[in-house]
Amino acid sequence: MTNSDISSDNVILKVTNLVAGYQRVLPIVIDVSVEVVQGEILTLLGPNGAGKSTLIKGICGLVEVISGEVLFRGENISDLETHEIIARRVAYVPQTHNVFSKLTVAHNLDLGAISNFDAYQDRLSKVFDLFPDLKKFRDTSAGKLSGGQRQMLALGRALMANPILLLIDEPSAGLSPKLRDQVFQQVVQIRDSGVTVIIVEQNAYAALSVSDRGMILANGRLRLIANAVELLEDPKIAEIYFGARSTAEKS
Amino acid sequence: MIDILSFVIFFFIICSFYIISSLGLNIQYGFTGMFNVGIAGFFAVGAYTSAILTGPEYADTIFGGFQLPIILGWLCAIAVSGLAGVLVGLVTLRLREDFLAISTFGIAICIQLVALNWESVTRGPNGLYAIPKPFSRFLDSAVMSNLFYLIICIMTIVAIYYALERVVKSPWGRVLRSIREDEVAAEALGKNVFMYRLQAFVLGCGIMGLAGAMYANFVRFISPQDFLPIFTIQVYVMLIVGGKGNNLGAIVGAIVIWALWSASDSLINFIVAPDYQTQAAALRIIIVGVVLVLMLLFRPSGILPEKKHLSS
Amino acid sequence: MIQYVVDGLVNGSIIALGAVGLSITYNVLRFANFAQGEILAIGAYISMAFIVLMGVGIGSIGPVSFGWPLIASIILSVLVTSVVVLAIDWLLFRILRQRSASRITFIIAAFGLSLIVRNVITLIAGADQMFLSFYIPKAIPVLDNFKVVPDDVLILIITAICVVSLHTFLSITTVGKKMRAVAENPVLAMVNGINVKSVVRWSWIIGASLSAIAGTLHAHVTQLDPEMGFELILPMFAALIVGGVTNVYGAVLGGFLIGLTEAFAVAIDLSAYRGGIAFLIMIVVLILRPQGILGEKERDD
Repeated sequence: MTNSDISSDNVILKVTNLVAGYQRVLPIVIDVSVEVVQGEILTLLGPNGAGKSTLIKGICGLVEVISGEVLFRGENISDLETHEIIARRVAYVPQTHNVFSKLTVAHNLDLGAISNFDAYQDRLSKVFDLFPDLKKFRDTSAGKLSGGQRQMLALGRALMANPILLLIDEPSAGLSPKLRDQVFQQVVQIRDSGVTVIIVEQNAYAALSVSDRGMILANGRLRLIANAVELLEDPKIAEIYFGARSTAEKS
Repeated sequence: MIDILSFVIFFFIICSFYIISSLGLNIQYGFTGMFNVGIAGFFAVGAYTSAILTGPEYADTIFGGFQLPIILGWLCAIAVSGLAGVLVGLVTLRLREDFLAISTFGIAICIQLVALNWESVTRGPNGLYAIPKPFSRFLDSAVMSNLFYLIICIMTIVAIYYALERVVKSPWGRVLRSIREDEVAAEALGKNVFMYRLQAFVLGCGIMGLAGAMYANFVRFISPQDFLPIFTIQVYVMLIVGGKGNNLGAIVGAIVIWALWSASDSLINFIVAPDYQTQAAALRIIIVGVVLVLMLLFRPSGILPEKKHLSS
Repeated sequence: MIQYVVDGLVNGSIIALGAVGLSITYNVLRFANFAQGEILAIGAYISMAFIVLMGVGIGSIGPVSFGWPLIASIILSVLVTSVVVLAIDWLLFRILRQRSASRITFIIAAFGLSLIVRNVITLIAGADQMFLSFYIPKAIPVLDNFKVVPDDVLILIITAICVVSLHTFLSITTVGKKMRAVAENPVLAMVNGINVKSVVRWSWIIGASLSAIAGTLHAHVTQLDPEMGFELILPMFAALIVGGVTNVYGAVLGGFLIGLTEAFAVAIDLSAYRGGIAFLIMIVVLILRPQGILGEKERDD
C-alpha cells in the first residue's frame, strides 16, 4: 500500500474492509480498503468479474454493503439508501442504460438536478460548455443520440447534481479510440473543476494515462494500488494484470 | 365404519383431480416458469369434451349422444385440451409473462362464457347431466364403484408422476429448467425456446384436460359453475405449498390443501349458523388466499423444495 | 344508436380510469396487478359506506343526480382507498420487493390478493347487490331526436378532468417527473437521487385515487357487488394492452375503445359475450401490434 504518503486531511472517501455483493453468502467485493484523495482521478482495473463495478455500486448504495464501512467526508454512508447518498453529492454514471432514452436531452439534465435545483442555470451552462453537443441537441430525445453523445449526456446529467465525488462505470465501453480519448479528456476537465473521480475501466493504458492513481482488483480483493505512472511503467504489472490485450493496445 | 370409508374414498377421488391438475401446472409453472391463469378453463374443456363424447343424448342439444367408451372420452379430452393449449400457446407464449398471465386469464373467462351461452352444445347454465361413470353398470354399490374409481385415479396419478419424473430428468426437461432460469442464455445455446415452451404448455394443458374429464365422469353432472377462477387459485396454492418444481410436492400440496379445505368446510357447517353460510364460505376462501400470500412471502419454495439438479 | 355510443363512452370512462391505475402499477412497479379491479371495488364500497353514514342519499344538483353527499363520499373514498392500498403495499408488495421476488411471484400475489379482497367485501357487506341510490336515469332532449342523461355527461366531464389533471401532474410536478423517470429506468432514477420508495407510494396513491373515482362512478351507473372489480379486470387489461402498456394515455384511449366495443356488442345482441369481445380485441392487438396503439417497442432490459 502506498497510502502512507497521503495526508488524512485530504481524504474524501475512506473505504474500510468493505464486503459487498448481491447475496450475503456470495460477496463479490471482499475486504477492500482504500482512501481516495480530494481532486484525484482513481482508476479501478482488473479482469472481468473482479468486482470493480460492484465496488463503486457499493459506494453509492446500489449493492448491499455486507460489512465494512464507507466514510464519505467523515460520514458513514454504508447504510444509507442510494438517493440519500446522491443527496450528499456523490454522482454515479452506469455503464449501460445510462440515459432516459424516451426523454429529451434537456429533460435528462433536469432529472440530474432534481434533488437540488440551486444554481441550476450555472450548472447547466457549465455542462453545455464542457459538452457543446448537448446544447445543440437539447430538444432531441436521448434515444436518438450517437453512442459518444449518449456518454456525454450521461456525464453531463451526473454533473447536474453538482457532485463532489463522481463514480463512472466504464465510460469508454463501445466507443471508438478517438471518442474514448475525448471522453477521458473531458474527465480530466471535470477533475480540474474540483471533482474527485473514480473510474472503472477495461482500457488500462488509456485510463491510467489520465489518472493519478490506479488500483487493481482480482477476485474481489484489492491486489495493488499505486501511482498511475508507476503502474504504466512497470512491465511486470502489465504482464500480470493487463494481459496480452493491453500489450496490443500499447502498440 | 362404512360411512367413514366412503368419505375417505370420496375425499381422495376429488383430491385426485386437484393432484392431476397440480402436476399439469407443475410442468408449466414449476419447471418452465410459465404463468397460466387459465387452469379452470383447460379443466373445463376436458370436462365438457368427455361429457359430450361419453354422455347420453339430450333433447335440447344439437351435438352429442355419442356414448363413446369412457377411456376414449378421456383420450379425446386430453387431445382437445392440448389443442386448446396449442392455440393459446401459439398466440401468447412469445409474449412476456405478464401478457401470458392476462391472456390465459381471459381465455378461462371466455371458455366459461362459451359454456354458459352455447346452449345447443353445453346446455348453458343447466349443465350436462347423466354423464356415465365407469363400472357403475356392473357395481350396484356406490361405495364399490367409488373404490374402483379411486383405484383408476391412483393408477393415473402414478402413471403421470412417473412419466413426468422421466420427462423432467430427460435432456428435454433440463432445457425447460434452463429456459426458466435464463431464457436468453437458453436461446444463445441454440435452443428454440418457443417450441420448448409450447410443448411444455400443451403437455400441461392436456393433463389438466384429463383431470377435468375424470371429474366429469365421476360427478356425472357439470355446469359452468364448476369452473370458476377459485379453482385456478386452489391449484396454485397447492403447487406453491407443496413445492413448485417438485412433482412429489405437487401431490403433497394438493392433499394438504384439499384436506384443509374439506376440514374447514365441515368445521364451518358445524359451527356457523345457516344464516351466515355466505360469510363462512367467504372466510374459507380468504384463508386460502392468505395461505397463498403467506407462502409467497415466507416460504416460496414450499414444503418439498425443488431438488437441485446438477445441470442448474 | 347514439345511446349505445353514450353508454360505451360512459363505460369506457370507468375502464379508462381503472386502466390508468393498472398502467401506473405496470410501469412503476413492473407487474400486472390482477387486484386492480378490487381497488375499484374497495373505492365503491367505501363511498357506499359514507353515503350510508351520512344518511341523506346522494343528493342532486340541477338535473344531475349527483349531489354534494356523493361528491363528499368520492373525496373521502379517494383518501381512504389510498390509505388501504398503501397498507396493502406495505404488508405484501413491499416485502416482495425487499426479497427481489420474480415478476410471476408479484402476479400470483396480486391474484391471491384479489381473491382475499373480494371475499373480505362479501364478509363485511354481504354477497347481495347494493345501490348507491335508487336513481333512475332521466334523459333530457338536446337535439330533435337526441336525448342525453345528464349524469352520463357529468361522468364524461369528471373523466376528462381526471385525465387532464393526471397529464398536468405527470408533466409539471416534480413527483410526476420522478415517476416517469422511475418508469423508464429505476436504477438510473435512483442514481439521479430520486427516492424510489416515495415514488412507489405516490404511484399507489394516484392509481388508488383514480380507481376510487372510477369504482364509485361505476357503482352510480350500475350497482355494487363483490364481483364488480373482478368483472372489470379483463376490460381494463384489454384497454391497457390495446392502448399500449408503456403509455399511460394509451390506457385512456384503450379504455374508450373497449367501452365502445362492448356497447357495440350489446347493440348487435351479443351482450352475453361482452367480456369475451374485449378479450378478442386484446388478442388481435397482441398478435398484430404487441406494443399497442400508442406504445413504443419494448426496451431490451
